[in-house]
Amino acid sequence: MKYLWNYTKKYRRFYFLAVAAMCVSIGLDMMAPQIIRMLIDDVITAGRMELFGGLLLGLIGIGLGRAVFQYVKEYTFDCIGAKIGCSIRKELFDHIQTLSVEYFDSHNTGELMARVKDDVEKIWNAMGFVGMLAIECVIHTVLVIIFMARISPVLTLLPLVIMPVIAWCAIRMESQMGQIYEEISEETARLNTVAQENLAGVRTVKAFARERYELKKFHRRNEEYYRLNMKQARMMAFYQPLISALGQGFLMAVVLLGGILVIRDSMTLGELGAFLDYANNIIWPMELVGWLSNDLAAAAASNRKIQKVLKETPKVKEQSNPQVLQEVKGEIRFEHVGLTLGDREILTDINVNLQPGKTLGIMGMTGSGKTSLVSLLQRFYDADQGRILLDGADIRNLSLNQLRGSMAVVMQDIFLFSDSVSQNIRTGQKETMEEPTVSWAADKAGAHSFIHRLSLGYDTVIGERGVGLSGGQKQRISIARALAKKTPVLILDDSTSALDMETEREIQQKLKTIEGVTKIIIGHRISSVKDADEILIMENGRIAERGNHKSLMEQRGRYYDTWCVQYGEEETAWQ
Amino acid sequence: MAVNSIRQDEEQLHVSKLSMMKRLFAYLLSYKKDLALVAAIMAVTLTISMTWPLLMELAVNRYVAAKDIRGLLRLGVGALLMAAVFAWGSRTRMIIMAKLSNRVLMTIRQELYAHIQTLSFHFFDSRPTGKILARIIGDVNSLKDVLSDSITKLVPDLLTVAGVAAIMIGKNIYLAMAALLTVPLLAGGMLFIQTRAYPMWQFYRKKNSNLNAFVHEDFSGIRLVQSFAAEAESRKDFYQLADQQRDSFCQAVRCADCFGPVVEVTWGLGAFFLYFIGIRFLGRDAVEVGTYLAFSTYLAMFWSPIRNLASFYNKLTTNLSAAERVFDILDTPAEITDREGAGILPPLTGKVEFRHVSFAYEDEPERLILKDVNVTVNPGETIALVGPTGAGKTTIVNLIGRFYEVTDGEILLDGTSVREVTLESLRSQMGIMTQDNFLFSGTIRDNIRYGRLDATDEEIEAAAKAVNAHEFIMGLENGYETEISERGSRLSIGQRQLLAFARTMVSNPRILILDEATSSIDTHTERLVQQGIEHLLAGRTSFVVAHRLSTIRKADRIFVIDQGNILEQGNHRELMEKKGAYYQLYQSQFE
Repeated sequence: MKYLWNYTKKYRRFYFLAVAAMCVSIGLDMMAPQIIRMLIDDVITAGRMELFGGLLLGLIGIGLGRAVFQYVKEYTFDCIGAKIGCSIRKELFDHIQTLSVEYFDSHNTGELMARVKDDVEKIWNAMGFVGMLAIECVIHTVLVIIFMARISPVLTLLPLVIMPVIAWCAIRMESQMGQIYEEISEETARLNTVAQENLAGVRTVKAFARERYELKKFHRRNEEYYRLNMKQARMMAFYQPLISALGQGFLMAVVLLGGILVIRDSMTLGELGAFLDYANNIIWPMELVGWLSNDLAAAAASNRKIQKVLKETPKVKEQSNPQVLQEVKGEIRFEHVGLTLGDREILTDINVNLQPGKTLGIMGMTGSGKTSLVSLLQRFYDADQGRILLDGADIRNLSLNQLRGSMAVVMQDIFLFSDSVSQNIRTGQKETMEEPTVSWAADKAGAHSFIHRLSLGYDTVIGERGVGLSGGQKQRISIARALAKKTPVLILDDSTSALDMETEREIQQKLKTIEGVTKIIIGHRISSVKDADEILIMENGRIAERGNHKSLMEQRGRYYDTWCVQYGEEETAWQ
Repeated sequence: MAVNSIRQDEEQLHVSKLSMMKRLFAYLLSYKKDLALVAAIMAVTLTISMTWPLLMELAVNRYVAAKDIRGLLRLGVGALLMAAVFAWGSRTRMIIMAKLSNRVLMTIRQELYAHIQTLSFHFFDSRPTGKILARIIGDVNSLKDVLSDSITKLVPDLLTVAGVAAIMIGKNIYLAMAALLTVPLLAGGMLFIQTRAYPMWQFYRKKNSNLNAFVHEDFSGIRLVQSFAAEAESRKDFYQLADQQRDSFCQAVRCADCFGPVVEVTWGLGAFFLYFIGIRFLGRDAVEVGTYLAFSTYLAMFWSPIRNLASFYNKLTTNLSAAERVFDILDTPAEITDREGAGILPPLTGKVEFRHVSFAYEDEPERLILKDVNVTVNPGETIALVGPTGAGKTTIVNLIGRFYEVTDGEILLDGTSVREVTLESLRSQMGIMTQDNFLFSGTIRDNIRYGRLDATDEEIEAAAKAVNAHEFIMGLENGYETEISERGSRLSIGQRQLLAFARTMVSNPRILILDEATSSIDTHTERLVQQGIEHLLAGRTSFVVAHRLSTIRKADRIFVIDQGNILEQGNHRELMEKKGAYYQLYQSQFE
């Protein structure tokens, strides 16, 4: 709650303005029964026609005045709600973006989306029109009670008795609803996740003709969602009529008690009429109490969820006073590096010394830790043992921006944004990158010619994950994207696997012409790594063999075996 | 292909609101009994709330005036009973309505989801996933308010308005006319505002959808964003989209919030006319004081539901534009469907025939991806497809599974055209491993079982062993029960490929299609996989798309694909002797 209160800081002036407009509008509303009472008592009963014109103008004035102030109030609240919602959304998004990869490994996209979208929406409403109605209910009720007290202090005891009862109901309802909303919100995330996975994995679903199974899976979540919503509705259906009936009972009590007072001559008929008008006026806030506490409960539940995300801290922390390298040359050293995730040992005692401008090739079995090596270098995780140095500086002392900004990685799992080819290549430097750099990078990645053949060339919009392009085309765009950054370190993580031999060779030739860049190339084909200055063969998180092509061939070990399979004529490969 | 990006607003057909409402309410019609019950209850509760002022008038005019305290108390008891009936009625009504609207919602959501399953790749390729998601979840949820509000609020409120008007007319037609003189003004104002606000709400929905799409993409590609240190950049994009969404909302409410003021002005004028006409024209003594009192209560009763309508009106209009977006998808025709009377494909022996097959994407009909391909593959043959990227290899295998429809010619399996049989019977006999291997969140076991839902644990483990995945699975903390998250991000790409391979193997396919299925697997593991699945594949037709020559060398026949056709075919030795395109491709790796 304190969190939200802080958010209102910037808007308190506007809230104040809106509440002031609200007060005026309510005040005008309160005047209407007075005018009507005067019309009845003074004009009709007492015949003072000289008041008639003024009173009628007053009625119109009230209508106009309310129109203006109500608009100011509604529009202001709506906008403040939108603004605060938008700010919270931004903060949340910023925060989520800084969280480490580990967090994303264990939280589904669907769930995070639900936080940023649905949960923020609930707060947006609460800070906007729901909040407005709540404040209005309170002010209205207080004012009405004051006016009532001026007519008849005795009768005013009635609302003062009934209000606490209603408030109690609302509070109880709020706390019970809160629990249900937490469940609903979690189920929303699950429903989201099922749908999101189905859409993201649509190719897999269709390949296995699993549409019916997917429907069943979705149906289960859908049913559960229905069940929870019904639980909420039942709760609502218990409290709402109860509160409503209390309101009606109150009205009747006014008539009875007031009638008795009139009969006993301690009140006039006109006064009773006016009092009844006020009483009528207090009914709608009473009825709204149920709905409002429902919405506020939902917002509070969402707020708790958002707070939980905001409390997450990134596992990979930046130094508060990071070391700054004036110019990164691209010297990379791994010193006795080890990594354990959970109870699995991913990497053990890795030592690498890569001089600026040199090329390191890495081969190894599936799951042997090749990609983890790159993840460590980029600080997606921190090494448990040893240290990694960039130009002699421990990477933990550098800012993430400098560290990651000085290397470009072509990831194995290609991800392209649904945006134009050119914008994809510019990722990270969308505003500053010059046009020639884009085409230079595309050319070096062997992508220029096919991009040209696309309907709009570099401006062609490609789909999410690059659907619409072949695997090889996607890889070439992502290579271009990395090259365009012109960083001192370039990492290619198995990024030519979908390319045919000829294209791969062409790209390799072009890459060789880029000088002064330290390169790390991970690959499964001998052809990808054989020209590297040093080649590492990984096995179970350790370096099993190392050397250049020539020395590894002489060793007749794993590297040699692989060479035989890939190049030896007589080896049986596909049998 | 025309692809919708995050920044672009989606195009949408214009549908009349009335027809949309009709369509929406058609869903409710399957609950006629419940609706009748709700109507009956609402009749009772409305009558009660309508007679309420009458009771009060009675109490004041008769009992208080006559100083009859007993009568007053009797009336009080009666009123209390009515209140109890009212409460019970509302409760029942609320529960039934909640049931109806949630059921309808569930139906629509399910229908939408089911419909999306039938849509072809084209649909998914041409828009971001986040935008589709926004419709299934967000837009459908907005419909809930349309349904329940319009029945539990709109209908009773309208009935109250009509009922009150009727009572007023019955009481004193002149006063009633005077009080209701301003209704046309109200109607005109409403219409004016609503025609202006609606497009703004539509605009807001689109901005909302863009935002959704961006969040989805950014979180899915978070590794890339962080790796490129592009956080600041995507923050900027996000801020821009969030601001646009906020501004479009503010713009819409700026117009929609005018509704309240219109109600207020018409109320003020109505009250003015009531007393002006009542007193000036009918004369001061023509109407009883009690009637004026009742009238002012009725006026309040008349205007308060209208005020309510105003505050819920905002919601209603936004939500109707959500309905539009939902129906928009439901109306997207499925391009590839089972033909009328499509048969079940009998168990295949595995003969595959292409007859004059040509293919072009729908929106680029002049650019042929495949041109008049003719080829016959015999049962049990292993075919390798090689060629430059983008040559059409994936297209060929996609056509066999009928993921796209051929533009010309036909594809026959065991002599039956793929178009003559149901998609399910066709695809369930194929084991297709695409380049994009999606793993679902869940256990490893469940993911492998996805290939065949009734596979036993032994079969699952056998498949995992065959593709050499067993060992690393057992190395995970919970073995086969290890939970993996979406896209299997805790596993390496190679390991994910192995799992997807196991999933394909467990499905026991008659025709196996491996589209770069082993591209991320090292040569050593690949060889183990090949040996492992050898006996599983005996006698099955398989298509292998690969770039590593060691993968394709031993295929029965190799098709070299380029420029939309098969340039060369034959086995490795034949093609090497031919010294053509394949030979060149092969030589390039030695240079």
